[in-house]
Amino acid sequence: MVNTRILTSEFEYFEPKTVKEAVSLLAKYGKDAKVLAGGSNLLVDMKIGKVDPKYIIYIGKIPELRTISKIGTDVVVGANASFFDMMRSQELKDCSILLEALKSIQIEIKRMGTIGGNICNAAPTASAAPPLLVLNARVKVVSERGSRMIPIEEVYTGNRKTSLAPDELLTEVHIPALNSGYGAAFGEIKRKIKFAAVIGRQENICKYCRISIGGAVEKSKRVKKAESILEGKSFNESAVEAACAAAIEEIDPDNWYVREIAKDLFRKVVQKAWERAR
Amino acid sequence: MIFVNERKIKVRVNGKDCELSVKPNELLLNVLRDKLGLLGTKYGCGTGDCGACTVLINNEPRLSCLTLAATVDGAEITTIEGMATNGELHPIQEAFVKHGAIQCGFCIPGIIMMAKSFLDENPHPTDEEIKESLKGHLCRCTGYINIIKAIKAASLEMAKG
Repeated sequence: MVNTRILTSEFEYFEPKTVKEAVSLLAKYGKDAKVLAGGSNLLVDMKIGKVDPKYIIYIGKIPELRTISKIGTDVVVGANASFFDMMRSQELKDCSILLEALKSIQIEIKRMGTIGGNICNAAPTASAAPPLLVLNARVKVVSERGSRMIPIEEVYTGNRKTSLAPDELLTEVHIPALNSGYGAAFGEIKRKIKFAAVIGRQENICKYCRISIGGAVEKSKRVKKAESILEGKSFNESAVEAACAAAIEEIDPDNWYVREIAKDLFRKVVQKAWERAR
Repeated sequence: MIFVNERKIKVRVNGKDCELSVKPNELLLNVLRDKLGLLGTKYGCGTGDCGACTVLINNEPRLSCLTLAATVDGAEITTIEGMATNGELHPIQEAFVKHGAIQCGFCIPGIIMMAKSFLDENPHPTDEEIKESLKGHLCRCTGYINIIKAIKAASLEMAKG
């Protein structure tokens, strides 16, 4: 049996003070290293023997990674900003679906968990993922080879897998402002199923649609089939039902219970986004 | 910058400055219990589900079983032992005793540290908010009703000043 009281693995510990230092450590140790932020995921994985890094790079002492600011219409959230930092920030006040998704996290994890950790851990149940996907967020990753911006949907490649290379550090999350008049909604049932939606409307036509799913799926993702059923067409009950059926397809057929509860949640979230759109 | 073996950290625990030597893989929980003899903070699940190990690090409630001791260098830490002042219980502790919120007591240090931070942030919580605040804390005696009552009573008492 695993003894979760102690950490049996041994590793070298680094405490870089700048992104440049962190990135040079990753260039050197990348494959054998793990970046430590809040620790609420990584240390559990280490305790249960899921990962056994030889090097730990703790980024909590890099002040530039904890800032939240506005660049143009984007809100730029530093990778090491905690959920609590985000819920308090003036800059994210208008980003209501993201804040809604963070609300259900327990108090301690709100302080420990970070946006960068949430993304890089890439759990299908990740709280921030569904809202970030429908808001078209992008992440900045930095390595000694340079930096690049990746659309969030290209970050998640599978259950606990991302497209980041071992020498890359996620430094920022860019969240674009919602187009004026667009409506957004988020809903979840425990950690079983989550949906987020952004809808733009013109009279009775749904002219823009983004829907994402998280929870009992292999990875958080956009449900493009459901989006295309609604986008560009008149918004009515039968369209929502067709989109709902497409979204439910993402959930394992054996998971019949979650499929059932997901239907109702999907309808509510899409309806709410529609009503919020003007 | 590289700490292969033990490294020195300075922390202020319950108002007292300490200099400690810790290994990279040492957890704050075990440093508090085994090196400083502060046995109030408990090891429950070790995986972030039960909240028994909650302490305040720079006034933030965090899980000490998922915190490397090395990362708290320079921090101020408060454990349940630091709640009473001059032998007088903190109003939250007082309320827990008064409302029978303590049964076996194992989960209580974590809950009280969480409640301290929770009430500092939100001095006038609703019952719903109190219930919500307890979601990261497991009480196997299932004494939640009295715990909720105690936190509510503490909030009223603390509001009096």
